Amino acid sequence: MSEPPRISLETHCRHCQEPIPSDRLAMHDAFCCAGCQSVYTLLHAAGLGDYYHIQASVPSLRKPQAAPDRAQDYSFLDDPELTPVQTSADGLRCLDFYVEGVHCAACVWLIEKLPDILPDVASARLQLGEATASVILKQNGSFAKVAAMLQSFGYTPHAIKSKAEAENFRRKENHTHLIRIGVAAFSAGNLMILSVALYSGLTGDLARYFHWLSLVLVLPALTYSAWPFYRSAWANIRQRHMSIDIPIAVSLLIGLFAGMWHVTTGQETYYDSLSTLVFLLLLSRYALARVQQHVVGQSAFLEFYQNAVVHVIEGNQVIDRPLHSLAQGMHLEVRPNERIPVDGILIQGESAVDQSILSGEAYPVQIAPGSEVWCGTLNQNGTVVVEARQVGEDTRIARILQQTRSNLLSRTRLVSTTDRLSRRFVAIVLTAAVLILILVGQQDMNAAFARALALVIISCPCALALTTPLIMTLSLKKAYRKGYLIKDTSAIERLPQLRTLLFDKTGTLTEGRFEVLTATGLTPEVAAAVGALESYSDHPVARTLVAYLETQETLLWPRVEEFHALNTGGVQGWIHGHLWTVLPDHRDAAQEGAPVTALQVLCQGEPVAHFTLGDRIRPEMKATLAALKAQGFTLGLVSGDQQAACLAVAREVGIPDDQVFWRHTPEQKAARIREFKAPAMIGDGVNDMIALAAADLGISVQGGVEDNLRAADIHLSGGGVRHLPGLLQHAHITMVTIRFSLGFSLCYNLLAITASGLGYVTPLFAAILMPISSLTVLAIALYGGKRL
Amino acid sequence: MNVLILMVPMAIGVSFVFVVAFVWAARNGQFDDLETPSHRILYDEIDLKKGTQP
Repeated sequence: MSEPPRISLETHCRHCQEPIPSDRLAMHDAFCCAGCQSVYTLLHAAGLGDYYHIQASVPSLRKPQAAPDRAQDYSFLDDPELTPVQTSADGLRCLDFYVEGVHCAACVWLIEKLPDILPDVASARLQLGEATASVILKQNGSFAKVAAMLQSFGYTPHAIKSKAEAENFRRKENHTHLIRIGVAAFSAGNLMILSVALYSGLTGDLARYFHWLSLVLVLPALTYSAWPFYRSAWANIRQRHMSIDIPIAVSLLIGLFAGMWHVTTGQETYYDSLSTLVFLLLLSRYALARVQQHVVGQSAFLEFYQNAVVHVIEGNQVIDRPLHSLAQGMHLEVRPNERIPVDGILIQGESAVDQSILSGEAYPVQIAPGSEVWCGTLNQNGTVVVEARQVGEDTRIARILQQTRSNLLSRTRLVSTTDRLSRRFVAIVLTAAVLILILVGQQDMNAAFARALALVIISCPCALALTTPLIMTLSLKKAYRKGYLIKDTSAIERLPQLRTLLFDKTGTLTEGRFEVLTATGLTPEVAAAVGALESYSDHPVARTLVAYLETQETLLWPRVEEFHALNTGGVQGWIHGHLWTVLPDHRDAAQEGAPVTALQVLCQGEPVAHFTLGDRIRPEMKATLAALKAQGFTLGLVSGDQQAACLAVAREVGIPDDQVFWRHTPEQKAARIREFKAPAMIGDGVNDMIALAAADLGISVQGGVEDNLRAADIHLSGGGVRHLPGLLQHAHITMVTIRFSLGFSLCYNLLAITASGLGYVTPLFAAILMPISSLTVLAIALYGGKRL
Repeated sequence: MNVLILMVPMAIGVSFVFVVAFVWAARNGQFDDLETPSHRILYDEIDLKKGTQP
């Protein structure tokens, strides 16, 4: 079934459909990275090549994730002490995973085929909307294998506490909300039938019977279904906070009790309109809540057990312990590719650490005994022993997370546009009602009361309350499809108000990886020789170079004789009777401190090839930032990196020098941001977290969704910063649509106020006018949603 | 028209049955995931062993 790979000019990766980097494209590579290639091969080898056909045949929400760079150790998943799993009724173990990267029908198919690939798996079910997979194992199965398999497919699995309490609570709440909607629909539907008879002139005993029946029917809608409005209105009144729920609750209650009085006196009621209103309002809110849960759900409930094992040295033994058992003064062994679990001092061994999580610097830092090391940083090549100085909540990274939380809490709450409008609106309606009572009441008190009642009920901000949730629902849904994950609707309201955009450097404007930028003179012979030489070295530069060369065509390294490392930082060795040397290239003195490292390759003393390594600037950054500048934004760069590196990147992408701030700690970044007017921070990872929370709006662009949405309001997946103009445009259209429909509903309400003041509004009139206004708002929302 | 006195409660009774059915379905989580089943049904049949669509 699988097509033979076409030898053609494919410009997009066969697996993840991201554009293929130009250097790979030049070599007719159909993949953007080695990871994607291995996923592709793996899927075909497992007979799962259909994945790509299914994927091509459905409109996918998002593209598959590029394959991860390195495999993670998931063995802690099989340790019952570290990962408590649930046991099903027939004694089988089950565990839920949050699977980062699932996006379409093909993913559902692929993940649910797990039992066919791994015989240990009894069943696997995926919930696409929440991106959670429930996996049930047979006896003696291994969750570590499942996780490793998911990762090799290109997803990032995170074990989550199955049936977490919060999750259960949310599900119950959804159920209750749905039932409220159903009950309101039942009331509204039956009341409409009765009302038709009453409006067409039913009189006598039957009319009285219908009136009493209406009262019975409206009760569930106006009590049980409408309960959330009363509750929220009451809470808002107590907090002296204006919200749209207050006028709604007041209208409903007045309508209910006035209606009761009318029933006993045989007059007409507004019950059909009221119950329809409750139904429509509940429905629009449910839709909005579902879309928001889609996004927030992915960040809120995740409590996963990453890197939960530490290696504690006790006497002469190394014992694996869970993370929470750490204490100050303990000696810990940290192996290559593990994160350092404490703040402490290195007491044995040498290595390089990737501290980008704290500093934002891409280039690994060399550490030797006596060096300070920080929790959360990534140990790269050597096994080291660390003495713990601060653990758990006292580590620097934990304090950063703490600060992030308090920043988020202290951010002034934005009063939503609807709430602001409804405050004025309520004032207008109440004044009008009092005026009617005074003016008309002088002649006929009964008529005055009827008109005032009609006014309060009909001008109940139906359209006002429907508009915003409807348009926001559509907007969030569309945003999700485009790859913008928006935490809540207030983020959309804040977006058009931004004036300043501050960017982080590493990982945001650049790829955040140390990699080969240029390679000249690279023949297969040279590639093989350099690869062979550098594979003897543990240095990060060497490892980057080897990883790069491995993706080239030569895969077999020749034998190296008399290898030795030079004092100047280079390496030398004999290959096939020739002396090869790889040396750091210091000719370009101006480049010192710049983000680029240059290497020269010599064969028998003759220069044959030249490499530069560095952190590549992401594609299209220059054009994107130019577009943003043209829209009138002030652009800036705030980074923890060195001056030269920051300035070089800033100049490349067109950020003026006086808006570049370098060597900022996470705390300093946050302080810097507050100096600007209406700033948004665009960054990634933990080192930007405080800044993301301190800015008026935080936008994260790289890394795990769940980590980032803790601090940021919006996560741009896939293209990162490239999506920014699109996001701003999206928010702009959303807000314009909302303003337009709010304007319409205000006009409509003014009309209704006039009509009821003059006595034209009867229950029949209301029964016709209310749905019409709702339908109009719906039409506007749908039209606006189409333009998004 | 007096038959309405009987017919209307009967109609309401029928709709009440639907409400009860709806409540049951909601409580059972029938509406929890509206997205995945629609995808799942499409490719249920592809047999991995043969690697082709039947």
